[in-house]
Order: sequence, then C-alpha cells, then structure tokens
Amino acid sequence: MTGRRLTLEEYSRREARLTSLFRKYGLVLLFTLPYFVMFGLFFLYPFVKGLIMSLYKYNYANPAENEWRGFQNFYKILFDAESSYFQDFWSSLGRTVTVNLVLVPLCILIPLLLAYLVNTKPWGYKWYRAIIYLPGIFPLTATGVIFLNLFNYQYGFVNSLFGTDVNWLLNPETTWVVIVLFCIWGGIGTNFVIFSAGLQGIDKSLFEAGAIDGANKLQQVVCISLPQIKNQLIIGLFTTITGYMNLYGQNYILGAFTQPQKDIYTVIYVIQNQLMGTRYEVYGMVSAMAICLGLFIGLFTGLQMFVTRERKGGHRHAKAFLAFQKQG
Amino acid sequence: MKRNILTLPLLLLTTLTLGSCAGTSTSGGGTSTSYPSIDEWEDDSVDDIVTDGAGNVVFDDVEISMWSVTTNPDSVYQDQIIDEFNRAYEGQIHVTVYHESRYSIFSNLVSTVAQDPENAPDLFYGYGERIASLVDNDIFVPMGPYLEMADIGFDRNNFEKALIDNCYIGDMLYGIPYGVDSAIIFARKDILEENGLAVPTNLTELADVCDALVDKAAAGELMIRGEDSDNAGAGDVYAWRKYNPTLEGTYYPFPISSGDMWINAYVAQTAVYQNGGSLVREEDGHANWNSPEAEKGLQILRDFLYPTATSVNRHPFSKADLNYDAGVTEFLRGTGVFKLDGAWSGYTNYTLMDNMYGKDGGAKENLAIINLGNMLTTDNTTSYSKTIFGDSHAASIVSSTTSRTKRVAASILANYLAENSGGVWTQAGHLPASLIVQNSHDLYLDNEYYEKYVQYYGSPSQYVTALPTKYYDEVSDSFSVALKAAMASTYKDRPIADILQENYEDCELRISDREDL
Repeated sequence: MTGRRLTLEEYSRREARLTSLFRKYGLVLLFTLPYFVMFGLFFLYPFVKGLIMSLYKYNYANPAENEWRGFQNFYKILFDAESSYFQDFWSSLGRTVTVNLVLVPLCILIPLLLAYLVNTKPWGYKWYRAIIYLPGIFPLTATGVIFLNLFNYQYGFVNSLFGTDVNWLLNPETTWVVIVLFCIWGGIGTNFVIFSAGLQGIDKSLFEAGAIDGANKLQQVVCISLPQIKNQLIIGLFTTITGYMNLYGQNYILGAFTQPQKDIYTVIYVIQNQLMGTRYEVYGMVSAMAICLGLFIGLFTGLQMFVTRERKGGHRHAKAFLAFQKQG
Repeated sequence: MKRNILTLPLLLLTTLTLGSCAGTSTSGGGTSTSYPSIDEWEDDSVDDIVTDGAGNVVFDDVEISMWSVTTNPDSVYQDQIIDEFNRAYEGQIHVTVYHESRYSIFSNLVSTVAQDPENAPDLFYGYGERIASLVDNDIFVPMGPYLEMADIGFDRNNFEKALIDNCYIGDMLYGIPYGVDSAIIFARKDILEENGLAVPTNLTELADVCDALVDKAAAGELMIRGEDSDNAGAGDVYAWRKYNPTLEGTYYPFPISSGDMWINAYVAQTAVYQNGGSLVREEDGHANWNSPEAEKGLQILRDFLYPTATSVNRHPFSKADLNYDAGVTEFLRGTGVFKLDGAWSGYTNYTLMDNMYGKDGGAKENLAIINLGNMLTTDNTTSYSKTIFGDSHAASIVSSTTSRTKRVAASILANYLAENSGGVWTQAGHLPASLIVQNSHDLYLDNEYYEKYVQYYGSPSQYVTALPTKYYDEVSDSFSVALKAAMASTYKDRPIADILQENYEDCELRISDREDL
C-alpha cells in the first residue's frame, strides 16, 4: 500500500461533505423508507412477478410444470378469436368500457354539482358534507346487502314502495341500472371531497372581477370555477376511470341471479372466475389478461391526460389582441 | 408529440404479434386423462420407519397436522372425533386440526405445498370431487402403500362402492371417503295432515300434493299455521287459519331458486342421474350432461316453475326467479309447505320445529323429512330412479410430507376418521361412507339423531358423486350456467337441448383452451 495520505484539509472536507449529505438526505430517507419498503413489497414485486408470470404457462400449484411461452398468452387474449380467453376478454372489456362511459360522467358531474351547492354554504352545509361522504366509508359488502334488499324481487323496498313487480336483479339491463346506482351512491364521496376542496380554494377576487365584468352565475361557473379546479377535475377523472375499469365487487354481489350471467361480467370478473376452483395452471394467462387490462386503462387515462393537458397558448392571444387593437 | 403517441401502441402491437410466434409450442391435441399406475409409482418419502419385533411401525409421539374444509358446526363435531383419536393414540400420534372455509382452503393448500412445504399439512380433509385436480398437480400421494405399512386391515370393500371408487385415480387410492351429503326436502307435515294430504314419496305424489295445496289455497280452504303467519306476532304458532288468496296472492307450496346451493349443487345433478344421465364422461373426464337424459331432468325442474300440458304438475311449485334462501320464511310462516335445505341442516330444522311445536308433538309430529330419491323422475321403475347426487368428504395424504412414518400415521388417521364417522358426526347429518359404521348400532343405527332425521336421508348406497376428473371446474361450472338458464324466466321459451348444447360447446372450448396452455 503506497497510497497518498490525505491531508487534514482534505479529510475534514470529505467528512463535512458526508455529514452534510446525511443531514440533507438521511432524514428524508429514514422517513420515506417505510413507504418504499411497502411499495416494493406490495406493488413493485407483485407487478414484476405478474409480468414474468404472464410470459409463462404458470402453474401456481406445481412450479415444475412452468413453461416459457413468450407472448403467446397475450396473443391468445388479444388476437385468437377461437379462444375462450379472447372471447371473455373482449366481451368483458366492451362491457367495462360501456359502463365507464355512463358511470364516469355521472361520478364527475353529480359530485361536482353537489360540491358547488355545498360550497354556497347553505344552512347545515356541514351536515350535508358528512351525509354525502358517508356512503363512501361503508364496506362494499354491507352496501351490497343494502342494495340486495332494496331491489329484492319478493320483499324489496323499491318494489313495495312503487307497487311494481320488477325482478331487478334478473335481467342484465336492470341489474346494470342497480350496479350503476350502487357505484354512484357509494362512489361519489371521494370526488365530492376533492371538488369541494378545489372550489373552496378559488380566490374570491376572481368572482368579484367576473361580476364587475358582467358575468352571470353560469358564466362564473363555466369561466372561473371550472378552470380553477381543473387539476382536481383531472385527478377525479383519473381515479374514477381507473377505479371503474376495475369494477368487480358490485357485479359479484348484485349479479348472482342475473341471466345471462355473462352479461354482467367485467374484465376483473372474468379474471376472478378463472382463479376460482382448482385451475392452477391458468395463472400465467390470467396475469397476461390483467396486464392487457392495465394497458387499456393506461391507454384510456393517457387519452384523458392528452385531452385535458395544459395547452400552451403561444402568441395566439397576443396576436389576436394586436389585431383587435389595429381594428380599433 | 404525435409521433410519440402513435409509436407506443404500434410498438406494443408489433411486439405482441411477433411475440405470438415465440415461446415453446404446446400440443393442442389429446385431452384424455392418464395417470401412472401403481407399478410405475415410486415412493419418494424418506424412510425413517422404525419397527418393533413384530414388524409393526413404531410411532413415538409423531405430530400430524390436518387441514379440514369443515367449518362450524361440523368442525366442532370433527374436533370431538380428533380428540378421541388423540386419546386413543396418546404417546404415539398426536393430531392438530386447522379448519378453513372451502372458498380459500384449496388455494391455501396448493400455495403452501408449492412455496412453504414445511408448513403444509400432512393430511387434507376436503371434497372427493377435487381429488383428481389435486393429484394432477402432485398435491396428494397414493394412500395404498402407507395403509399397507400401517397394517390396520384396510379393505376397500368396507366402503360404499360408489364413494370409494371415486377416490381411485387409475388404480391408485388417493383418499379415504368419510361421508356423503346432499339436499333434503323438509316438509310441514302438520299442514299436510290438517288439509288431508299425505307426505309424498315420489314426484307424481309431490306434484299431486302441490296441486291440491294450490287448489285449496285458491278456494280459500287451505289451513295453515306458523310464525307470524297473520302478522299477529310469533305467539300464535299453534293457531290455524285459512290462507287468504285475495290478500296473500297466489300460493306457492315449494319455493325454490336456481341460485340457491341446493338446486345448484345437488338437485339438478340428481335430476340428471334419476333420468339415466351422468355428469362426467368416463373415458376422458369431459362433460356428459349434453344428453337427452339430462334434458329430461332439467325439463322436470323447469316444469316446477313453468308447468305445461305435458308436465306432471298443473300449477307452479314456486314463483320463478327467486333470490337467495327461497322458502325459508314461507316454511316458518306456513305459507309454504316444502323447503330445500342441506342434509347438515337436519339438526337445525328439527330443533326449530321442536321449539315451535313442542306442546304439539314437536318435530316428530310436525316435520316430514324427504330425501331426493324418486323425486325428480316420472319413472320410478328404473334402477337409477332413487339415485341421489351428493358431495363426498375424503381425507388424503399431502405430498409435501416427506417422512414415511408421518405418511403412515396420516393414513391411520384417515382410516380412523372414516371408521368413526358415526356418533357426533351423525348429529351433523352426514351419511357415513364406511359400511362398518353404517351397520354399527353403537356408532350409527342407535344414535338419537339417526332416529330423528338421518334415517330419512336414504341409504348411502343411493348416493353417487361425480366421477373423478381434473376438468371438474369446467364440467361443473358450465352445467351450473345451463341449469340457471333453464330455470330463468328470460329463457323459459328456449329449448333445454339448445341451452345444454351451447354450454357444452363452451365447456369443451374451455377444456381445450386449458389443455392448450
């Protein structure tokens, strides 16, 4: 060992740097470590494992049977029209997207309207706020039991109240109506809270300025409130789309008697069906199906992000103003 | 930006398309089930057996763990039998039992065997129809060689043939059957007698009784009684009153729902067998219910709800499209006479009627218990008209147990459970698979609960279970879909043959897709 000895100055500089690094990042690391550990254990590891499984014939019960399949699982799901996986996936995806087209606007507009009304602070608005959010804290199964009883054919409250004889949970069409109601009832609370917070944060002077410029209430909502809570709307839209693309529990609880049963299957329902019983060799295929769903969710949310992206005006408005000035 | 947006999906699409050509190809043909024979089988356990001078295996405080699919109240009865075993084998074998619901125990078993074999059980107590799938995944090992080593005089002839046969895969025994259960019809004998009607013993009689009840109800002459039957509170259970069709609507004597387990898991399958059909094809383990016999069976069930000019009943037994627990409320209120329930609910129903009508002879005088034999066929002369489809419980040795001594001990435990499936187990309402138990006065025939209700469940020899097949999920799920469609009002005009054909094709597609994996 003939290495150069450190001078005292160099040593103290290095030590100071290390101490400074620890001071700077040590605490941050310490506090974020639990999150990263959890993230790694419960998201990253299963995600990577799922990706790997999707490329195999993966037998959960008998790993000795695992067999490399490349992208064959994905091919079967996405392109092999003769396969039950293809049929199940595309038909259920169609249903999932359709219900999202109905549910997502309702789950944005209803809480938005409620948030706007509550934000006007009518008498007892704090109670309204709690009542609107309350269904969101009920467990899915508990809400499911409530809805099963509300819409029960023989003893249901809805049929008794209206004197009807509708078997709500038999036909897929009426079952879907109940499922949508279930989702709205139990799901608007979170968006309501997000939008309420957004509306409360809007600078009041903007409304005053709008009122001085002659904007009526509707114009104030469209031109001031909505643009000001755009970020909250984007978050609400994103979480609602991703949430309801994974729709399953509501259908499982309410659709047990629906005929044909397949008509209430969503993609997650199809995946769950595959995992029932003792079909242990389908885990690779099921992982591939979940990834395909993830890709489509990514595609839809990407599209949503693209549509709602921050548009840079460039010089368009400045040019228009100059042109206006010239005309003047 | 535009280029980036298009690039990602195109890249993905190309990758997937190209990727489909990659990977190891798998054979698409041959879906037949083949299993190794006993001659090809090799014992992979560690030979740690110690024998005494007489050549008997010595058990020196061997700890055995057992996982059981039974939950409360069956688990309580089973624990009592295990306690007896632990006392009988004190110092030699000790068993610890873990009970878990059927919804999760199978996946927990396979994941533990595959990933954490140290904590896997030595003996698994599950359903007979699942044995083939689990054997196919190397979860169970054959029991025969270990029973021989145990030298406890195991003889397959000591078991109900249909039940023990279904524990054989090829020529190897993978489980010892414990018992069998199915759905049972519970009837309000008091109401039948009050209206001058006899307890039915076959389908024609059942249809006649139900028609007579509906006719009497429509004429305002039907006498009923029950809990809160006239909204006057539970105190008037003894008070007879006339059913009021104007206020109470059409009378349905036998409410049923295709969504309830009884119809789904037992009654429809029994209808298939009683009309000469079967569920599983013996040659290849595929579905065998796409047959005229199954069609006939399902037509009888459909007629229960939508009678036609050719059906045995004139009036519907039940309102169509009912949701969960059909008939429970009607049975208690007396606004229905018949109710389907599990065999294990015998104790509950008997106690319930005892409590309701204790001063009037209790359950003995007021409750009739009818097994499904002859109840789902119009021809009572065939050899299969009394057949009842059921679930069998069986115990199997788990492959992750490497110690040979433990495997032998587990086989002794499995046999003990089967040969002691009387006593408290009779109270649980399960019919024993062991002929020794069936003929034992001490364990079975003189049992209080045998006399109360189990004697009416029919002979265990009437019972069949599904043939062992690794495609049980596909065969059973598709049949269940077909059954629900056959009984739903939305499909009532669609021929049952079409429904069976459509679901059979779906079943075949799913089996072939599974084979192609």
